[in-house]
Amino acid sequence: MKKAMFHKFTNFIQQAVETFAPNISPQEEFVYHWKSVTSYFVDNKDGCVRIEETALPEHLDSMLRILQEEESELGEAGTTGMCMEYLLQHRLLETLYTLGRTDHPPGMKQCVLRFFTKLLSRISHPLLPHINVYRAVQRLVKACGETKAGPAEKEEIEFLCTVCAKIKTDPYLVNFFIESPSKSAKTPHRTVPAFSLLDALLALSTSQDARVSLKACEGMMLCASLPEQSAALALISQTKFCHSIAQTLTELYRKLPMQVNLDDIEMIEAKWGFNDINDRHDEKAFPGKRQVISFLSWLDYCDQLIAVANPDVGEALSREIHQQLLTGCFSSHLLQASESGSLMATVYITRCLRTVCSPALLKEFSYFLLGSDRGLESKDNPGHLINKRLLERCNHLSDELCLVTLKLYDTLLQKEDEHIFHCLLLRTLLGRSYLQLPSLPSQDTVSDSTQDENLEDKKNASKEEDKPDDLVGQTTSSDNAEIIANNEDRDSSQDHSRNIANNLPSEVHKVVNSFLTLLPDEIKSTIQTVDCSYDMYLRDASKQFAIQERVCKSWGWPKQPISELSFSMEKFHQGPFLQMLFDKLLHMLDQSYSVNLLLTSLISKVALVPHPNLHEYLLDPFLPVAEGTHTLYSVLIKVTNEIKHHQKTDSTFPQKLILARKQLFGLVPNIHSLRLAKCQTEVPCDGGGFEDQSRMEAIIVLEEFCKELSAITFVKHHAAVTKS
Amino acid sequence: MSYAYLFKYIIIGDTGVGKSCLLLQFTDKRFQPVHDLTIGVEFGARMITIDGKQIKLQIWDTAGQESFRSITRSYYRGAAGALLVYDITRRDTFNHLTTWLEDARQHSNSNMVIMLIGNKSDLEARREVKKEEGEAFAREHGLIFMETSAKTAANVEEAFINTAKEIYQKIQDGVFDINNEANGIKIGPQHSPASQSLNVGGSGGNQGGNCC
Ligand SMILES: Nc1nc2c(ncn2[C@@H]2O[C@H](COP(=O)(O)OP(=O)(O)OP(=O)(O)O)[C@@H](O)[C@H]2O)c(=O)[nH]1
Ligand SMILES: [Mg+2]
Repeated sequence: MKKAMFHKFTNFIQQAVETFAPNISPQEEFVYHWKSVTSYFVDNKDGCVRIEETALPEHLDSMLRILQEEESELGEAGTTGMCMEYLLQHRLLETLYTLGRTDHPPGMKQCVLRFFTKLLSRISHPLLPHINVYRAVQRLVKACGETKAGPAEKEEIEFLCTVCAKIKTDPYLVNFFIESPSKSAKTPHRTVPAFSLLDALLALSTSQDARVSLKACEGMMLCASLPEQSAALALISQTKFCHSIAQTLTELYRKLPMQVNLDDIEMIEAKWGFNDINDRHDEKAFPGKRQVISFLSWLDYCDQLIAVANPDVGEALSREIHQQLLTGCFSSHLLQASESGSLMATVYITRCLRTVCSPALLKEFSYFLLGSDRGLESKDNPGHLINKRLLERCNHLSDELCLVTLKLYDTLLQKEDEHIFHCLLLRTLLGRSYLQLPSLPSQDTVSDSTQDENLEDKKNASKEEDKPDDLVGQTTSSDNAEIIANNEDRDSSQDHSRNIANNLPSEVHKVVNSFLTLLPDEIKSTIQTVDCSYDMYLRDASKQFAIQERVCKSWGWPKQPISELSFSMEKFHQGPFLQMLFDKLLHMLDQSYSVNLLLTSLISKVALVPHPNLHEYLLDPFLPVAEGTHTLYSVLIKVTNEIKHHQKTDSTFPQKLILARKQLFGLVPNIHSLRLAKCQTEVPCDGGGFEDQSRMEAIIVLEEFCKELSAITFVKHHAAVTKS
Repeated sequence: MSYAYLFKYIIIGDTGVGKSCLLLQFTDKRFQPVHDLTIGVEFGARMITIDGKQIKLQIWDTAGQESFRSITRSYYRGAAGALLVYDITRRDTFNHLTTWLEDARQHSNSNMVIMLIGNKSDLEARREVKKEEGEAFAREHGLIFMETSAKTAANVEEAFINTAKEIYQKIQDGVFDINNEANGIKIGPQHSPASQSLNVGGSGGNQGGNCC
């Protein structure tokens, strides 16, 4: 019906033009159409017809067509034809804006918006710099987003985004859209925001129409990413942009369900612009899923926005999110005493961290969780409260709370943010205070099989007799069989060089073997030489290490261990995070299988970090360390001794161990698969009241963990040697 | 309508190569002679049948304009398939393929199926890029290749459907983890048995390009 009407009009107009003036010039035709538009408003005062019932759209389309034809005929860039001159000189656009403003006849606003949009996008001659164009465009911009859910939303957003695209191509154009406050000095009380383009987009970003709000978000991304400082400044100081974006996020956070299956939150995928909230067929639905998706999608949008934004805008928005969401909501939720409340908050912040990748926002998250202070903790600097509380939770009686908190740290260590690594791992090690002072050579020669274990164990190992000759000629060949065959070789060297790159190839074997032989054969559930899982550990370690190296590459870490004075300590302490890991490792036998799996995975991640200080401290059992220094190796030896004790007092130990191994590794080859399986389904082998079973599982986890550590050590040594 | 799988596609390539026209031809069987620059992203959807299974294609048509690049990249994430389009009458659009491909590979998941499309095959007289060149590029980079015309509809169906077949095959081979929605694939609700009898082909086009 409407279509027929259109055709009628088109034909009528065409006929009219041809009948009355057969040799009419394009300019005359253009003026004819324009006059037809204006005369309509002179002649028709009654406003009851819809725009579709008038010839107005046809006239405007004809004008566009003529302008386009004119431009393509002119060919040459930079010149304007007669019709365009007419349009500019007679301020057609301003008149059109005025006509559209009244929306009379109904639909006129949409029609005008469409005209502007097509004009701007189809004409390649730069129109916006013309005062008669940008003034009208700016006014029209202000008229967008005025009415919520207005009928012209779709046309408004197309128009606004076209303007954004034009500005993005020629960023200086943005200056036409920023009203400097001095110009409006006449009205000093004016609080009208000066960047109306952005305000219009903000208004439309809350549209119920998903397409409109999505495009508004795109438009805001374009505006925020303009390189022009003036735009960034206006956006930060003159508009509610940062505030509104962060506020939306906070509001969505408040709607999150507080009683959900933790795995559901972990598994959920939500990317901005790519979710089907309207999907009623979702089989994996759970109550509150929509809210979780909305929140995570918006967080993803913020993250994407910050990543592409002008750095000033990105930082401003990140700070705003820190203030409103992190400090405003998460802080109290994380610190609350209620177990279930803090549990949910921890799960949500972990899930947030997974989404956040933009450096600016990531920085705010790490500041929030770990504090912004990079110095050593001292009496005057007691450490960051949230981090402290979270570390305490890692030892919480509730296994669940402990697990989710460990997961948070696990996620932190997967982020590309130097501050995280510095705060959690490096600051206590940079002074190299863990080293034994050279003037105090150690004298003790107690064998490490002694029952009365102490922290000197590791040092003892390094004092054993050296047999350098045996090692000459051995290479760093990745031939694992060779390493494995040599796993009885526990020789150590006194002239041990304390850096990765300079380590003699022979020493790799010693270090690697010292991890492999931590557990005596009687306590092992597999026979090393026929165990092919070691290959997998090697492959996995080298893959993971490559990733980790790439991540840390730009942080300018030294190749050799350094001793930074500002980080040196009178009495060495490994810092609260490593202490927590060591403490938990020490209690492996009394902890649940899940906790142990996650714990060892975390320590492996730490072990992969390519910082020379961390490397020698964590992975070199022969490093002469200062008295009273806890190291990974010393802790492992303590645990081993505890196991030896159990083994001696339990005659059924071997059978139990084999049984436990069968249950754990019946279907999977190594610890990675166990961890993966753990992430997806709850493996029902958490001891279940059988203390023995749980202990056996811990022993098997430890056995595999030792292989993993030795593989990591080997891979790191190998990488250092091949590089130098 | 119920479906067995939902695949997410993106269409990428220089401005004016005919991305929106390809989508319009596929979803609405229409051709649009005027070039209206796509702003940001547009979407369309259509149901097709592969191996007797109803598959919903959700297609994201992106803006080719340079100024939108940083934004459209966000949409690469979570797409199972991509149509990388150039215009056989404009060599520069062919020359830019490497950049597009690098961009796509960097921002999408590694299993994404990429179909290279030389569009506007109806304009033989104005051809600037030989079919062999397109084929060679596709071979070199491990893409599927096809020449299409959004105007005459030649090969348009095939382009979309062959991409879907390739994704479907990857699911059968276990390459795609269908439980991870980040891969751009979603398992639908139990699809109706009636749809089992349908054969390969894009017969069931829907009216209007709306999705979700
Ligand atoms: N002859 C011919 N013209 C085509 C074909 N496909 C598209 N066109 C024309 O090419 C122009 C651009 O087509 P669009 O589909 O809008 O281009 P696009 O790739 O979406 O461009 P952007 O949205 O700016 O990225 C239009 O004028 C179309 O009519 C085709 O197969 N044959
Ligand atoms: Mg397009």
